[in-house]
Amino acid sequence: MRLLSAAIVLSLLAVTASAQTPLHNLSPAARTVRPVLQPPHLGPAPRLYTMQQRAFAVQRLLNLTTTPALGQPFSLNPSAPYIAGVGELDYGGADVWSGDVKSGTAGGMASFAASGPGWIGVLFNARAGQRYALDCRLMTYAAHLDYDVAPRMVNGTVPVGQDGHILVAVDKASTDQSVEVHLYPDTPVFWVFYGCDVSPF
Amino acid sequence: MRLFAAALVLSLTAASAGDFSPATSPARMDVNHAIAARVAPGLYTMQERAEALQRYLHLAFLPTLGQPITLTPAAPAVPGLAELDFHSANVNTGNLYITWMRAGGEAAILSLDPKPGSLDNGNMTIAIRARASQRYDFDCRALPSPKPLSYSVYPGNVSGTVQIGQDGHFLIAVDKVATDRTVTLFINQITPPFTRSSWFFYGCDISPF
Repeated sequence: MRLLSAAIVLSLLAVTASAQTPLHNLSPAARTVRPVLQPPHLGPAPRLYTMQQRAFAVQRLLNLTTTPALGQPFSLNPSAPYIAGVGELDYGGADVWSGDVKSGTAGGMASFAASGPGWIGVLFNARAGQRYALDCRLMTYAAHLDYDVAPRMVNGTVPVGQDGHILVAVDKASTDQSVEVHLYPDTPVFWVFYGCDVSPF
Repeated sequence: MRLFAAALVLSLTAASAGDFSPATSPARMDVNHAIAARVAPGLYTMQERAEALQRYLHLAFLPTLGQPITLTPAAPAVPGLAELDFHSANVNTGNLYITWMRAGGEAAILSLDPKPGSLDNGNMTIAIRARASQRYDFDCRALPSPKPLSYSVYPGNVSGTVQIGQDGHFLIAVDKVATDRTVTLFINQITPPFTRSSWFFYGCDISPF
């Protein structure tokens, strides 16, 4: 037990010659890096839509005369960014707070500095002949976000709602295929992402 | 139906041709090809992990490890218990788009030092709710790294460096805390001034011992 304690103390003091280097031996850059230990302080995350609210939102987005019947959605967020064989979230240039231990937000959050070209990618296996509605939650001062859909090479702009929701509709394809929808601002702006619900319709 | 098609066409043609497009950018394609070329480190068995910790701490006996918590980019959080956080990172959580990518995903963390003293280095943190009087072994997997990683443990601000092994594993031991509390492990790559490089992270198994 004493041996164990001694070894741990030694390792934590960073003086074990074989594996560790005292801080004063590090480069100036290494010494000046400040850890980011807490996420930016924000208000409460946007609330999830009910199925009914989401259907109304899709109806408004597409100017439909009837409320669409949405299928069961799958949800992706920073805490649960991957569903095997179904979908995943990818991030570019992100600060990702994956859980609630640090962010205090169930589902986590991803923030993007105004200085960088950060983006979110929502990938999913789209079934042939099926449309999809992406209902995503975020906080930003931007009035809208740009999006593109790969590999279909389509793109556009969607408004950010007052309630922090944006919706993107993905049209149907003739065969099953993996689809990646990217979201990103076209102006330098800080933004925070909370998750997406993807519904077939 | 016509309304739907009209609205969709309208929205899909709204952007100008010169807009930034992450999906088709050369940088993204480079990243995808590079991901495909990398081979992620394999997991340790419990026995291998215990032996690695024994070597790391120069113990006279094999430590007994408790049940680990596993965090990966694809499963980065255990609610109320542990999470991975990434900063200035590109994170691919799964294997849909890059179909040959390994399970568990991959985080590419850019170490960038545009000028000495700047704070632009990408880094990651691992936060756990540590139990009082419990030590923790962090067995993490990453590629590549000719350069060492530096780490700090909070609270306590205990710092050190660690080298990723030939097998893609690096270990960090965190000493016990007096009361149950959140412990944060901060990790970044040591980058000489005016240089940039990336390192690639695949996950950690965190075992009490």
